[in-house]
Formats: sequence, C-alpha cells, structure tokens
Amino acid sequence: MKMKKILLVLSTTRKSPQSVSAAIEAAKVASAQLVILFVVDRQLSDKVIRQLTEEGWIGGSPSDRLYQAMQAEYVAQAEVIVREIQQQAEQAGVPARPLIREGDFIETVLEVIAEQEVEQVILTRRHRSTLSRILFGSAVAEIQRRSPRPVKIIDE
Amino acid sequence: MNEKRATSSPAPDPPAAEGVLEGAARPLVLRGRLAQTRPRWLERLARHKRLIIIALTMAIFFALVSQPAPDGLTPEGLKALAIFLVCVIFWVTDVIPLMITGLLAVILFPLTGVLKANEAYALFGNQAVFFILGAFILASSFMRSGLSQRIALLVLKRCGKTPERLMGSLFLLSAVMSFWITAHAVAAMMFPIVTEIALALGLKPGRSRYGAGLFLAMAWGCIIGSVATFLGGARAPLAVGILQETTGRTIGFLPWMLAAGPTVVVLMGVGLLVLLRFFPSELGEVEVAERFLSEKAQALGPLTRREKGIGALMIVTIFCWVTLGDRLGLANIALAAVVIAFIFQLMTWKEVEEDVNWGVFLLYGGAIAMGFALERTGAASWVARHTLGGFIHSPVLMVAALALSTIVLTEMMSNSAVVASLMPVAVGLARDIALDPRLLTLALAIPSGLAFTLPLSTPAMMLAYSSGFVRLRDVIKGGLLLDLIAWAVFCLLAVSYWPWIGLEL
Repeated sequence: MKMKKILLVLSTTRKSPQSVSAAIEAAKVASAQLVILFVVDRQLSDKVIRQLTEEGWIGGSPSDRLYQAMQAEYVAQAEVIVREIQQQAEQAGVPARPLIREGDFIETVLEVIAEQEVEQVILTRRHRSTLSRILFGSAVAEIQRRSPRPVKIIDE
Repeated sequence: MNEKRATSSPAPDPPAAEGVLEGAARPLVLRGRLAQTRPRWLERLARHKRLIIIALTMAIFFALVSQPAPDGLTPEGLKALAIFLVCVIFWVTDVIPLMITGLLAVILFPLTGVLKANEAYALFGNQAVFFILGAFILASSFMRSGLSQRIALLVLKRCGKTPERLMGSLFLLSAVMSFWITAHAVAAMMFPIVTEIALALGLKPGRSRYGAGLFLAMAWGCIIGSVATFLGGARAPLAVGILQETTGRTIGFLPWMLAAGPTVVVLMGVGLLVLLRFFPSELGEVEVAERFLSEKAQALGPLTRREKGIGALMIVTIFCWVTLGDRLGLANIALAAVVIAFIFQLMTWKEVEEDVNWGVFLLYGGAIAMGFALERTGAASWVARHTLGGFIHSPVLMVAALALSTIVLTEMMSNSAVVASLMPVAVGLARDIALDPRLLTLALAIPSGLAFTLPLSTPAMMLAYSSGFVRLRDVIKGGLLLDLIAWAVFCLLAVSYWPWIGLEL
C-alpha cells in the first residue's frame, strides 16, 4: 500500500521550528512520510537585484553574477536546513524525503502538492499584522485558497 | 506545539474536510479559520495600483497647470512645480523606474513651455553627468581586473584572525573601498565573500547574531564610506551638478573630502563599537574562515599586468582629482583616465557595456534639468518659503532640520531620488535665509547616504537583509542608534568644524 505523505513547506523567508515540530508530529500520528520542501524563492533575489539596478546603478553583468551568488547561498542554506530536519524526523521514527526547488513560492508549492500527491500541507506564516496581510496580500493565504489538499498554517 | 498559534483551513473536498487522514493511528482534526486574505475589491485595486497612481498623478498635474498661479509664483513656476510633483510622486511610489521618471521630466519641460527643448536636453551635458560616467567606467575596470577582490581577500586574511577582528576588518575594508568605488559595487563584490565566510564558519541564518553582524559590517561600512568622496555614490556629484546649474557655485573634490571626512572618521569608530556591542561573537576562533580566505587568495595567482595597470591608473587619477580637480575639471580627469585605460588595453568596450548602468544618466540629466527649471522660474524659492523657510530662519537649525529630514526620507526611498527632489528646494532655502548654498548642498548630500536601518534605505542594506542572517528586529536598535548618532555628529561638526575650512554657518 502506498505510504501517505505530509508536506512541510519552508522557504528562504519562511522557516520556523514550530512548523517543523508540528509536521513531524503530524507525520508520526498519521504514519506518513514527511516530504520536506524548501523553496528557494526567486522573488527575493529578483527584488534585491532590481533595487541594485535601479537605485544602486549596478550594470547587467555584475547583477547577473550577484544573482547567481545569492541563489547559490540560498541553496546552500536550504541544504543545511533540510538535512537537519530530515535527521530530526528520522530520529522521531518518521521517514523523510528532502526536496529543494528554485522558483516562485506559490507556483512551486502547488506543483509539488500535485506531483507528490500529499495528504496534507504544513506551511509557515511569517509574523505580519492583519492589516499588512489585507493590504499587501499573503502568499500563504493564496496557497490555502488554491491547494487541492488541506493546509495547516503555523505562525512563526 | 502551541495550538493558539496555529490556524487551519477546511479542505475543499468533503472527506478531507473532516480533516481525518485515512489509516491514521489518531485522527488529525483540522480546525480554525482561513488565513487572512484580501477582500476581492482590494485584490483588484492592488492589481491596477500602478495605473491608478499614474492616472491620479496625471489628473493632479492637469488640475494644477490649469489653475491660475498663486501669489508669488509665475505661471511657468506653477508648471515647473506641477512637473516636480509628478516626479516626486513617481519616485516615492516607484510606479515606473527612477530613470524613466528623469526622462519624463526632460520631456515635460519643453512640452509645457517651461524650458526650450535645446535648453532641457543640453543639461544632460552637465559635467557632473560625465564625471559619473567616467567614475563608473573606472570602477568597472577596477572590479573586472580582479584587483578589488584581491585587496579584499588579502586584507581579510591578514587582519581577520579573531571573530572581532574579522568583523572589524570587514567593516573598515568596505568603508575604505567605498571611498574610491561606488558603494553598491563594493557591496555586490563583498556579498559572496561574506556569504562564503558565514557558511564556512557554520553560522546559521536567523540564529547567529555574529552572522548578522558580518553582513551589517559590510553594509554599514559601505554606507559610511560612500559619503567620504564623490566616488562612493553618484548622489554627491548629482547634488553638486544641480548646485552648479542653479547658482554657478561648486564644491571641489578636496573641499568635499575635507567637509565630509571628519563625519566619516567618527562614524567609522562609532559604527565599529555598535557592531561589537550589538553583534557579539558566539565563536571562539575563526580559523576555518582564515583557511578559506587563504585558499581563495592563493587561487588568484600572482598580480597580473592588468591589475598593476589599473591600480596605477586609479592612484594617478585620484591624485589628479584631489590636486588638479579645480583646474582641469573632474569630468575631464575621469574621461582622460578612461581613454588611457583603453590605450593600454586595460579594459574592453564589451565589459563597459555589460557593467555600466546607463539609466543613471537619464535620471541625473532629468534631475539636473528639474533643478534648473525650478530655480529659473522662481518655483524653488516659492516652495522654500512655504516649507522649512516659512518657520526656520536660523542657519544652524536649517542645516539640522534639512539633515534630519533627509535621513528620515532616505530610510524609506532611493537616496538619489531624495537628492533630486530636495536639492532644488535646498537651493531656494539657502537664498531665502541668505546662506551659502554649498552648506545646504552638504547638509543634504552627506546625510542622504546615512541610513542604517530599513532594507529600502540603501541597496547595501537590502543586500544584507537578503542574506537571511539579518532581520529587522536585530537591526532596529543598532540601526536607529547609528541614524541618530550620524545626525548628531554631522550637525556638531557642521557647527564646530566647518568654519575652520571656510564654510561659515
């Protein structure tokens, strides 16, 4: 019988020990495999490069080199984090599978939900005011709205 | 897990809505509400935000230019003011790129009859614009040759033997390099080095205060160093370019260094203390980083002909700017150095095309044209009388108020845009209280680089935040303290030291 999967979603700007504990606990309770997805969000690098180009007057070539360096740093950070969580899960008796993807946060998470056929998604929500979420929108709310599977949100 | 902090959504299909995972030892019940999201009307409004801002701004523009001019302002002055308002709104809201707003200003002045077309376009030929062009090309050659990276690695390897010394040398190196090449280019070059040091030391993003301190040492060093000369950022040449076009007065390379230097030196000391106090090391030693820096430095091999040539050219050029700047012209020296670099094949045009951001010339040409138009039509004086000039008549208070407003604005918007927006008003204010306009130019251009807290303040800060090591809650105390100290130090030195170099308040 195919093992059930629970998806823990982390990203360059969304990491919290609470969501890791909650995901391991949920996977243990459901005897499910924990899929640890770390999204290396391109939006962050794009935003920084845009500011450096338009306000810092950095040219095209140095911007590209910096972009590559930033993405490489995020991937290296992601590898350390997912490896730690994998060990934590395995110590708790939960089989875990790490995944690192680069791309747009919302679209990547939705793609992985469909691809991995997960039963449940656990997302970390950054600490922000309600007003800010209403005014500027929320990626977590967007995923919750579009996800075909139930989404549990853990605040940072 | 803290249940109060968790919210869950009902699942879209009925079985999952119960929240029970099939075959689970214990059912996992999903309770709670949907994550807070935007109402649909706000979603639609946000999607069209840009167009709405542009439409509203243009409506304000047409409403203003169709009104009769108020007392003390000519019809041309009103039109110039309306164009100024459009540019400020676009710069603050960032609905179109900064440089395109500069271009818009140049188009609108001839179209509204405020300036003749040949007058408006001739302002792109201002010396300041060509000085920036030359400085950017030289900076590109310095970075491309690998000399900047070699210097950085050698200094860090030699000086960074303990955690505190590593942080200190990173901070001072970033500051000193930003004296001579644009601070944003220094930050872009240092970022991968700092990242690799942090990773080699096994520092954890968001958990290591020392890690945050290393990235802030880079950013704060670049910020402080960038105000020391005309080369650290394009803001100072822009301010001097507007000063020259509007008043005929100017500030030379050496006088600028003399005026800004003491503030920079004091802030380098204070900044280092703030870093060591707020970001103490949790490491006993940094041997791994030292090994990494040695390997990187060794991999560069011996000094190349190109590095030697660029190094010599930079030293001679800086010497000429300092000693012969007033006689030969800063732009002439910069462009002569560029020509020499090409004669000796120290750089290629392809590299220049790839490295230089030509948008800067559109913004600066537009900003200088705007300053000229506001001054020529009398709109700058009118704005000055109706803002700070209306209630501050003391030169000391004026310098302090302008410096403070500039630091606050710079925390929230592009510092080039702050200089472009406030410089024409500063010239008007100087005339209003019969003050040497060079003083208010300094009071605007130096503090416009000194913002240490928010990610939007400078690209170097944005870069530090993007590392994942620096969070607002880590920076807020130290950053605001530095903002305040920078303002106080600047004001104290303006009052006590400037008269010694002939800048009497």
